[in-house]
Amino acid sequence: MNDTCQRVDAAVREWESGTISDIQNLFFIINHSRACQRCESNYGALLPLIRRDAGERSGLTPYEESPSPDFTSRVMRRLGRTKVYRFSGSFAHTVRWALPLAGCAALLLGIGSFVVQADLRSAESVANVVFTLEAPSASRVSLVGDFNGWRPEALTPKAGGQGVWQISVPLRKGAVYTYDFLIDGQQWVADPHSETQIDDGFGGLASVLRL
Amino acid sequence: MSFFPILGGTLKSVEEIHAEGTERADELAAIGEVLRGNTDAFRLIVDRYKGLVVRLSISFLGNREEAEEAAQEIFLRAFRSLHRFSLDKRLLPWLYSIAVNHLRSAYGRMRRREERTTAVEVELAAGGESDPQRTVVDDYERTALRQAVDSLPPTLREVVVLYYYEQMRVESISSILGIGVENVKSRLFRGRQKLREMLQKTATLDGFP
Repeated sequence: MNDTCQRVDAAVREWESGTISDIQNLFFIINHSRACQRCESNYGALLPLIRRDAGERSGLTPYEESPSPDFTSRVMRRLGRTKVYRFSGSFAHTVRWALPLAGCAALLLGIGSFVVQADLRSAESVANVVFTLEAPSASRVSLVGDFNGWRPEALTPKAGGQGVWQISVPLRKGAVYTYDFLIDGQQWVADPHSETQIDDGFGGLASVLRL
Repeated sequence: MSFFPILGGTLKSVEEIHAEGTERADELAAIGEVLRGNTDAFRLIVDRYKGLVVRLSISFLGNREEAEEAAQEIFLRAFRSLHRFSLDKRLLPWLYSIAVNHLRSAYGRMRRREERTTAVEVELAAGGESDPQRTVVDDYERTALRQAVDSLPPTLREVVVLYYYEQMRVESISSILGIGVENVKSRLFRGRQKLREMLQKTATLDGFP
């Protein structure tokens, strides 16, 4: 190994630690590594990164072209008729209104900012519905439905457990609700105990509850 | 003193991508429509950012088919979370945060399926940028580098991908990942160090491992 290779080694050390003082040293590494078998063997695979730091195109990202032509259509199809709302209030004041209203909602209902369609004026018109899912290998299970704005609401493991998760939700009687379980933030699961399941518009099934 | 200059506009930040003015007004209007129940208004957001999200997904996953599927899922998650988006913030960093979170777990699933190495080799061999000077050595080095990047611990891998593959600035990465700038620089240093250790074929005389 000659003096030049030693200088390249030192320059690579500086590049690695992010302390290189002269950009010309990066070009020095690049140029010498192409001409020296020893340095090419050591650092050739790192050259795209060093080129990027020297301000050149790294050539690392293999694709520059657009997504497939029907990408947007596929996303919109999967959204289907799903809707998302911010809590009531004019749009211009949404930011100012959302926090205190969401705070009140969270205090009263334990749920964040979304449209509440259920009428909770009369205790006699409300039922506490216990949703249960057996998922022994899950780390977390959430309940997601139109009654909570399709926002994941965490279930808790049932005491005495064996992988059973549950949550109690107050819902208005005489209404129809659609919901799903979400396991570990990734897997959507319809309620195996529900009598009716429908197409959720995402290629899966959603559960229907009639009170 | 660190020295990573910006030359010829080849480095970009999230802020540079996101232009002020009309684009932002359009986005806010679209978000407002969506939050009033007009789901179709979300189309503007998808059309505007699908290129960036798909490319980020390819950078993370290395497989175009998986990347498009992941990119779709990212937009679905963004839609479902839109009611939590702060209107005084920029949309793209928020969208990138959702994307990175999803791509982390998507990448983990891919690794567990042990399909990545073959997919990356096929993708790099079949496509890539049009570069008449690219040689067989270049392709081999890119494959070796990609495999080494994929072997990094997740916290190092994601900053290396965002910085070198997506060519983001340290400040943008800091914003997207929710970590400090110094933390990003530290992870880049450790990432480069590990990559060199994995890729270096011979030890130097002075013991530089």
